[in-house]
Amino acid sequence: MVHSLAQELGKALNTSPLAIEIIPGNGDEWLPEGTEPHKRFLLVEDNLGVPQKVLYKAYLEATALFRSYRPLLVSVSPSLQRDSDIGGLLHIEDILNVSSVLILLNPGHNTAWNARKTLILSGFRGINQELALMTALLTVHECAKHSLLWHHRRWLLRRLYPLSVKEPSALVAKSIPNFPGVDDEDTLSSTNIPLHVLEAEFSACTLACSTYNRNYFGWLHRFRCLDALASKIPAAQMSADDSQVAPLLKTLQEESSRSSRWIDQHISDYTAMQYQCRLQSMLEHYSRLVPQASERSPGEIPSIGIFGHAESLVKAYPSHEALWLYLRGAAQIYAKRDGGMIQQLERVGKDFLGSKTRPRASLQNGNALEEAERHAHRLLAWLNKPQTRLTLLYRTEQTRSN
Amino acid sequence: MRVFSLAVVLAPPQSTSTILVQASDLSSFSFYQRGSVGEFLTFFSKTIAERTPQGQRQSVQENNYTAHVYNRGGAEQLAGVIITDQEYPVRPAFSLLTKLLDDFIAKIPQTAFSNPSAISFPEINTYLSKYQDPRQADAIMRVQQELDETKIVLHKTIESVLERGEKLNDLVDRSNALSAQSKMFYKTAKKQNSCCLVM
Repeated sequence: MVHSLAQELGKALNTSPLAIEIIPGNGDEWLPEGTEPHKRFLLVEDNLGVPQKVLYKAYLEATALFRSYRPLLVSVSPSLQRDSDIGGLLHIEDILNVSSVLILLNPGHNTAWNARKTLILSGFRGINQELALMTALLTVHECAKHSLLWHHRRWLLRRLYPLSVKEPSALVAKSIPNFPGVDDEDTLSSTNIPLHVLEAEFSACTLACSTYNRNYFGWLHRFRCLDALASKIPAAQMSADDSQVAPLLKTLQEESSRSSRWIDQHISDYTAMQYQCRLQSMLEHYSRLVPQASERSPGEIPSIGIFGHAESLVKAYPSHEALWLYLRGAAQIYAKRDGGMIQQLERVGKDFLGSKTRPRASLQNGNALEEAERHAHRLLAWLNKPQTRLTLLYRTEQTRSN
Repeated sequence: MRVFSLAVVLAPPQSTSTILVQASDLSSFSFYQRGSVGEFLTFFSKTIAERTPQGQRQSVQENNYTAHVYNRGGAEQLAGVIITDQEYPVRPAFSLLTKLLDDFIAKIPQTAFSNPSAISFPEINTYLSKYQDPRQADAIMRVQQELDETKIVLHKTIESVLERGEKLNDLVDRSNALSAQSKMFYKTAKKQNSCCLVM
């Protein structure tokens, strides 16, 4: 039986390697001489390396093969017996293989994604196997940021863990701003995803953001996993069994420490800061409901929370605008319980412009000091806006009246 | 914000330099890139140290990376090179280089420089991991006030550090320290003007 490059490469992809990498050239520098043309890729310690020119060649082959096999998909249905049509079944594996090659080079190939969805629904492809391939693809620069890949991942998770309730808990929906409802077909909230799977999803998001730094869709997925985690808490609280709530809150707190570390290393990543603010508002909400959550484990952020974190970063890197915005976001969270946030923000802005902390700006280079001063002035101007004062004070008043 | 490499280089004027100790953090690079990136970090550290006059501090930007060099000169003829990403602030980088070189000179006698493979200076790995967070440099910066008055020469590309007539492509081509795979990574990155593969 003659195997094509596309099929061989697809087969290697479907064994779920640890990482996938597209290496430059045609592989001559890596492969031993005399390597067969249909095996011109590397697999070392479960790391798949595909030479770029070889991938282009495989893609062209895969396109033709996919076109010829596609009509078979129409006949594939959940009722199709596995042993009824051996020839058809062989081609089903081929469809899986060639569609893997298509999405590796072109993750925007919607037809290839749909073909895979059809095969999963028909039971010809395991969901966990597919999730493992999705994780491996997150190590490819172009795939890590692609919306269709993330959408497919959530589709798989929803197939594995269907919606547990028709409506999201009223408590969650009320307490967390912009909480997605189940009418959002891409949501994960109110699905019954186990905690260890959510933790694996958080790790997958970290992996994707390390591959492609400004990864909007990676963070969006993380937001949705966070909602899934938050939607589990009210049900656990209703069961009146503390042992169910504690691990959920612990995961929230660990996630908060993880995103703080990420922000420390990526001081321009504003999406990460928004995520941290949302996470913190959830922690604030549930800490009040469950007293145990206020007990802190060693190494965790102190009681000043992310406001202190944001302030320390602003002092260290004052020329980064994202950090000043992070400070504003953090203040808005704590305004719910602390009436002095306006004064705190004014203090940070004025301290920086005053002589006391100014020398620290020498940490930066070039025009950094001028930029930093501009950000400080902007913060003070923002604080003087009636709308801002109203928001920060209104939240405090509202909390008091509750 | 990341420090990729720290190196102490013996850089006699008008002569080729030798790397005495080096520590690299390649964890953020993928499996097949790691070896090539390691070779390039060494290659650039050497190339830039050789082209920095004694007593001078300079920063060289190349795509996503910045290399800071401090040629301390003096009797030891040592230079320090740190390669970071572009977000890493400049002054902590130079504070770290000054401290690294002081520490190296205090611990390693000049007679050992002739045999770099025998030099044991594990502290360089501690520096590399500790100063991934530049806020750690605050403490050492307080005792290095003179840095504020020092002029740091900034180069926007590595080409501007090279001497007249020198081309980076030729240096890469001629280098025996770079493998065929590394040269392939370099060629492709240059062609695509890619900022994320190799320098």
